[in-house]
Amino acid sequence: MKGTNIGELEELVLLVVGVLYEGAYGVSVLKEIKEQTGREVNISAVHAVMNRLEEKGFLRSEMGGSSSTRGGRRKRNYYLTSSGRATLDQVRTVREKLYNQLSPSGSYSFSQ
Amino acid sequence: MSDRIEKPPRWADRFLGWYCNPKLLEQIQGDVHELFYWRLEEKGIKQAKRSFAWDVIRLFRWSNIKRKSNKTQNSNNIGMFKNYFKIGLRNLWKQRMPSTINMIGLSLAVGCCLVAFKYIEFQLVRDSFHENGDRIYLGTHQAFEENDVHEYGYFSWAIGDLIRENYAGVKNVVQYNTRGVEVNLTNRSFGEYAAFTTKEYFDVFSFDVLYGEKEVLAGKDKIGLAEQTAKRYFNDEYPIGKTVAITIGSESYEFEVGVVFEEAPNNSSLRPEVIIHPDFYTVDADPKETTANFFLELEEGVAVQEVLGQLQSLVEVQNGFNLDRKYEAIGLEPLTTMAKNADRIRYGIGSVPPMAPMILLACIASFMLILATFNYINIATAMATRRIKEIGIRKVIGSKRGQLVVQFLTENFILCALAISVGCLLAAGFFIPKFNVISGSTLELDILNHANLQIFLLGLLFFLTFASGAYPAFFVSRFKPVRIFRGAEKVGGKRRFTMALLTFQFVLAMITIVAGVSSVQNNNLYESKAWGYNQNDKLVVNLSKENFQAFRSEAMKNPNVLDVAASFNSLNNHWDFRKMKVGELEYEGQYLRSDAYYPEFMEIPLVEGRYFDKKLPSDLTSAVLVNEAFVKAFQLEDFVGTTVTIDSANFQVVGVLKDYFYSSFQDGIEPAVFKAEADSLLTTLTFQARSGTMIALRDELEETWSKVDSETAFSAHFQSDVREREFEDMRGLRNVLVFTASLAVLLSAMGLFGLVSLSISARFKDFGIKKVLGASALSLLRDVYKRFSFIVLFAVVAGSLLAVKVVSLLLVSVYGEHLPVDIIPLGLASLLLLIVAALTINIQMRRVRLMNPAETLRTE
Repeated sequence: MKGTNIGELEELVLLVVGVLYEGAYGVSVLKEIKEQTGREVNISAVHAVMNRLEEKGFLRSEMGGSSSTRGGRRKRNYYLTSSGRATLDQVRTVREKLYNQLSPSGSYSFSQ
Repeated sequence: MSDRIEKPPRWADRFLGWYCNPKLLEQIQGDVHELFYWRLEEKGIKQAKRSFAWDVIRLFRWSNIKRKSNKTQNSNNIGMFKNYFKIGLRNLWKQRMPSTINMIGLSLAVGCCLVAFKYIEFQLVRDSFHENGDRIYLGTHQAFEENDVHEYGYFSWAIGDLIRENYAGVKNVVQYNTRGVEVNLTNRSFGEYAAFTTKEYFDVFSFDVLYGEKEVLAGKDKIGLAEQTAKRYFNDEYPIGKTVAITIGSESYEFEVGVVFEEAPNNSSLRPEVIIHPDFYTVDADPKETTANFFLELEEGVAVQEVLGQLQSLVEVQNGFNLDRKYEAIGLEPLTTMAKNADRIRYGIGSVPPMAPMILLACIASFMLILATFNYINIATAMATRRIKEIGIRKVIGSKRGQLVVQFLTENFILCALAISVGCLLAAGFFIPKFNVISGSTLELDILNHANLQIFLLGLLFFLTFASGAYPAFFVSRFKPVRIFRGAEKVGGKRRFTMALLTFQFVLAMITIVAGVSSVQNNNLYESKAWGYNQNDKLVVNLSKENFQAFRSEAMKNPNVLDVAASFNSLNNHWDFRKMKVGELEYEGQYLRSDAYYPEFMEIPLVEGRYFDKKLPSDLTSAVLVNEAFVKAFQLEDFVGTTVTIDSANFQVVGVLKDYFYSSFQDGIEPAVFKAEADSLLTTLTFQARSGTMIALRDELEETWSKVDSETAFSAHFQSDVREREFEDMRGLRNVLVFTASLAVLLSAMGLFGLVSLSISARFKDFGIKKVLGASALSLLRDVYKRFSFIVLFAVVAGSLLAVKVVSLLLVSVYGEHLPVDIIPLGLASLLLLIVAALTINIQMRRVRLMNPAETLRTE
């Protein structure tokens, strides 16, 4: 199922939106990513990814409330959809399945 | 701490607002602002501002930019244009007569423009077809000569060879030289101008090799021939491997044909017919003292300046040769500008195209374009005013003015596109072939693979569409619907603009007719003008010193020969200009050497003194005859005892001849001197044939010739032919001008016809009523008649005044001395114009006279 494949940043954003639950919008997602992973992502990238995820149907959005730091401008809040959640689950299963197949013994040449 | 509120950089915020899709603007702007204030606390103002700007720039991406993406809107536009076209076509069809007039006029003008464009482009754009053209340069040098530094388009042979060997950045060097040679086949011989050039010629220049290998030209015993030349020599036989003998200078060599190449296009400066190895040009001469044109092909990507800088070191080399010729600097002239700059570069290659015919053609083309455009504006305006109700309704329904303008321009565009297509057909099928006959050129209309021409046509289409369509479109779309339906809009008003354009058309027509009539007049004058000597029934035969006596005595046995005289150079065929000195005065004049009898034989009348006397031996050594121009130039009171110095020899003037034309009429008459020589120095015989036997005599003498000299070809011409080329040119010009005049008359007549017809049609109902009440056709049309005849009369007067100035200028540049632009051409032109105008209006009157009022009143 190629259509549900998502990239690494997409997965991250999807997860963060899910974690933030009600308070996910551009800036909060960006800050959360930075806090949780230490990655500095540009706001334009966040917007692009979230738009893409919305097109794919993994996120849905609606205009939310405004705050004074935004100069009275409203924000667009994002929510994880059920298909988004399913995709995350699927990604995780695949990953764990593969992870569990790693050989526990030290047969890899880690030292190199 | 200041309580100033820090704000994001304004420019970035504005930029975001400018580009951002309004649907996304709020959330995006909110996000970046929030980030800004967050960063302001965390990292300080500077960093925050910088990051804000960076964010805005990063957000400038396709998905966020505002753009029109409404698809329904698009298809709607196409639908509108389709509609414009449909209505446009219907309107054109509905008004067939004026549309046809417009189209014919425009297409004639387009045809003229195409001829002018092709000719001018062909003359101006030279040597542009070589693939590596931008890397090819003609080597030049500057030298001090005649008290000034001039540029010369050649190198001494040794210098050119040095460039070939030593200089980095120069890929190839081609030397190129021409001289006359004689090519001898088994039974015929041809005089040709051969190019002496190296084998790289075909690598550097893009001339296609048809047969043979271009490498074979590396050998000295092989030559190259142009395709047509090869055909001339060997007909349809395969030319490669054939042997020809070529006489270069005085030596004869055997060559094998190694290569046959395609003829160079007409706008090439290099157009050799025979290519020979360069060693035959120099033979054994010192390479330092001989010269040649050198073409340098630079390596790809090498800057000219760099190479040029290196080449300067050759100045010293040249000056080290200790020749008279000292170089000041070395130069490189691009191949493509070589011909254009031929005036500046002496002894270069190519020549500057003559400007006069180009200007004349450009003028004619623009005249025609102006005439046709004005016609169009007039008729289109008149036509559109008849659609005034349509305009009113469209406006009421909600049409914007812009839409009406687009509608009219679309109609105009259709018409212009049609006119251009017809114009191309006209040009390809009629104008250009005719023009080729007249001018002796070989133009062709190759629309499909001629980029410049395509651009020109496209430009012409848009120019015509707007130039002719803008005024009518804006004029009619201005009307207010309320006024239209109230009947207050005065459509049939005076419309001064239209009338002014029509007047101008007639003025132009007047000028062209005067030009045409004058050129006919002047041509007739020149053709009947006495040449100053008797050119009739004279056959000129060129000989060499060896066979002179033998041929002369054989030829004199021919009963058709009445008389004969010998000369070195014959009148109007060979020119020899020398510096002549009398006392302190010095002039350059024509120097003619002949036997003592020649001036008398040619029937050049004597003004004073005597002809040469055969019996006086001194006449052969120290006597000369001069012409009247000579006497005038040197301000001689009395010719007796005057001594002329030519080439440091002194001669006594024994007689003065009446002025005769020794070159073309345009050049006027300059000083000329006849010098008698002994027969042993002469190489030309002029025979006086029994009247009516000239052609027979030529054939008979050719036979005689083959008995005397079977080696060389018989070369003869009629004395009356020597100026044929000049007369041909003049006739060509006359034809062009007469043709232009007829077109101009036709166009203005069509314009007048259209306008009169429209203005009558607009009032047809009026006329119907008046006619029922018993008005005559003349009284009906009185004011139409009055208005248009005033225009024509005014144009005749104004046109005459202008024509005197303009046409005189033209005549001076073409004919030199010419008949004045007086009452004859002006009168003829006025008469012609008046007749045409009267006819045009009267055809329309006929319509009114024959009109059945019942018909007109019944309709609508």
